[in-house]
Amino acid sequence: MNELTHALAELEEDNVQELVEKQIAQGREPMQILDNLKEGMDIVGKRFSENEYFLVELVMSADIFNKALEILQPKLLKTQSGEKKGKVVIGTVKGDIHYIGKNLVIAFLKSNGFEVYDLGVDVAPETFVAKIKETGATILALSGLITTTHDVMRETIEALSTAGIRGKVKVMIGGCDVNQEVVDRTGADAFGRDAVSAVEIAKDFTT
Amino acid sequence: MPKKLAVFEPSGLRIKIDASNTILDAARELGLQISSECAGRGICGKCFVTVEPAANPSEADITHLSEIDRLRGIRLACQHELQTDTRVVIPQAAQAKILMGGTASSMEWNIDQDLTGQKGIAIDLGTTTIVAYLLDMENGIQIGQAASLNPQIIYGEDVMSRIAHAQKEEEGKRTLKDIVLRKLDELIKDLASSANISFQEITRLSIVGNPAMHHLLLGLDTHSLGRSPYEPVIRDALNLKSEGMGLTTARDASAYFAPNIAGFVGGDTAAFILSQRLDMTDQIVLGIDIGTNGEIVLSVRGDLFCCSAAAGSAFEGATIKHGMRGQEGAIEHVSIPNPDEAPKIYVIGNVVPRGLCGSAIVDIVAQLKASGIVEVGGQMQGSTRVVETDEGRAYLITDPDENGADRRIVFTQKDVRQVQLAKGAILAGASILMESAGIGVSDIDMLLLAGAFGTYIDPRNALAIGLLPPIDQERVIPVGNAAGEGAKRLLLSTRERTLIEKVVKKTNYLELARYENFDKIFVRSTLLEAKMPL
Ligand code: B12
Ligand code: FES
Repeated sequence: MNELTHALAELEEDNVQELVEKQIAQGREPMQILDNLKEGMDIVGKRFSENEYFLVELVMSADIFNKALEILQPKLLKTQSGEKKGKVVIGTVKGDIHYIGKNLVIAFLKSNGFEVYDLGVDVAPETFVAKIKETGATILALSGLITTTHDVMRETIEALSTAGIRGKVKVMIGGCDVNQEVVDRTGADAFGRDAVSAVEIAKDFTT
Repeated sequence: MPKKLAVFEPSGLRIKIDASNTILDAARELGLQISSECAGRGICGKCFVTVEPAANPSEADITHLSEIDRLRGIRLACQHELQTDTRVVIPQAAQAKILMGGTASSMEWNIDQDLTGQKGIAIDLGTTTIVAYLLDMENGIQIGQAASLNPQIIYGEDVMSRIAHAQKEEEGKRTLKDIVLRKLDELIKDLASSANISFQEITRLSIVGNPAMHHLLLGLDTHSLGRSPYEPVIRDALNLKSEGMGLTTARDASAYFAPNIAGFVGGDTAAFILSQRLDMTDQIVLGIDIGTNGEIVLSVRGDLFCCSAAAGSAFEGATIKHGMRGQEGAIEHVSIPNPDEAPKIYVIGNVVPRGLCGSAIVDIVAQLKASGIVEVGGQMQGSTRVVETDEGRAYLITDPDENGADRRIVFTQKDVRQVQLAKGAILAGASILMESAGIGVSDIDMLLLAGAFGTYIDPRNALAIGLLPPIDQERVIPVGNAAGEGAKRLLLSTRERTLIEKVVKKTNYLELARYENFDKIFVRSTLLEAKMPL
């Protein structure tokens, strides 16, 4: 494993920063540095899925990644722009206020190159529809942790149809007891159990 | 072969098993007793259980069960394979150990004057259990008590699943209301007959419960409770005729419902406040009910603050692989004197261990942490008794033949994570409540633990894993079924009723969900250490 990837996977904050700065100074291709960081995040995500890492580690990794990105960003803009994989509109559906899981999904989508528009919590169907129209996003991600909001997910997806844009967006859903049954009931396209699967689904949607 | 989940009540034991197994097979796999004289051939009709969802009745069901029973979801356990995830209630099985006693503050009781010769029943309507106390209202003396599992549990263990059921199914609301009413009738009948009194003598009932239990019993619309901002339809106290409420026993009694404080803080919490007179203490007291809804109350010399920190049901054993309720066969306490040897366990009823109940779940996490097997962040390390399972790492509590066990009982890495989430919610809630009231840990004079779980946990271990704010162990005081004590006061006294209504109005409810930085505080609260997350 690459030194930088390893440092991020092990959550060595200072080490990551030093390495990024050193490699930039040595004239290494910024895009390669970013790739190493993303690989590190992938490992963190995998360890989270396997229950080896937990919330604290996940939040730390996102912090470290974002700090590294800040150092890297000015260099990146010159060489690559428009490298985004796709646009995602995300939010916790109306009636629910849980956001911790949703924010992790966002962090992982971002570190994987998706452009994410976060609408926050307790988001009404029309707000989702408006944002999709405004941004031209092709992916809608809905989070909902309480059982009563499965119906709201269905209503939200129906609102897409009413607005005539259901065909243009793929919908993924997630949160506590969301499973295939809920996908069938709500008319979504897929569900994910964690932030890593959210990324996989989003990649699936865009290829 | 797809695997399906079967959850058995009243034990709360659960198993994922091939769908080709019958309900009876699944129960046996867990070591649970269901009478089955014909060994599963559909002849004896003894293996009946209540199931949800209930499949179409089989020939044998029709032969052995009445139509009413079949409509109620009763089926023969040997006749049905697990076609889908199923909840099963086994009748007459060993009663869960339900906590009935409680301690109240030593204030004088105000008993109404005109109650000579009259009896009353105080009811604590919990999400998991219902406890009813029969009192002689002339002098306030308790003459009987009865308890049962809340039969709504077949529709899910937390309030949201019940609300979802009430909204989803055509008849959902009616069913949920009816099954609690029938259970209350049953409890009232038992109490009356064992005290040898008639229904006419029972002139009053008082009922305390969380807002969801309150609304479901009254058959109220739960849409506003089920979605943000989670508002109850009725907040104020109510006084109804029993008969109008739908009870068929003690029809002429008047039933008093304690007022709700907020969407997830109800009359039971109000009754807890009342029973301890937290509204007029001259101390700083934190009160926690470590249940699925995690109600927390802070009294700063009588100024009241409260919140609800949805811990989930990890401490009720529900999200824990080998978790179960505190009843016979449950491991109640665990200690690990030597990490290389089998731990010491204490089993309720001194029988073959079947699973772990809440107090043991707290013990095991604390003990694993103390032995260095689990780190502060919750990560499980390799060790002599750590095994790899299909669900990842797990600590081996018993293997067959160890500690009198006949099966393997483990505590998995995932279980540790579930405990971290649950205790994280409670600690974050308590810390934010304290912070908003400007109170530090050293200011707290007393920490009262309400409810069954609070009574049985070892406070040392609860403090060690940071389930509670890090205060001196001597200041942690279990108060048992405090809501039940409050319900008794409300039964006997109009003055107490006026009082609770006032108390509820002046209690400040804090909406945790909207608290800035909740996520950061919550994440730090998941660490297994005796430290404030702020
Ligand atoms: C923390 C928490 C809270 C916090 C919320 C903080 C916040 N603003 O987010 C607080 C304490 C405020 C809270 C409040 C409530 N909560 Co709450 N809460 C929890 C708890 C303990 C953990 C949830 C969590 O953050 N998990 C950690 C994250 C990382 O996991 P996650 O959210 O599941 O997300 C992951 C996956 O699901 C997935 N994912 C999530 N979204 C998406 C989206 C997509 C598209 C994809 C692909 C994947 C995906 O990826 C994420 C990362 O891996 C759970 C219980 C539990 N043990 O899970 C209850 C729980 C979710 N809460 C519950 C409830 C009911 C409530 C309340 C509505 C009522 C109450 N008091 O009980 C209140 C709200 C009322 C109020 N007025 O405050 C219930 C829901 C029950 C049900 N059957 O519906 C739970 C399950 C507890 C329970 N059993 O009672 N809660
Ligand atoms: S065991 Fe005899 S009918 Fe089921």
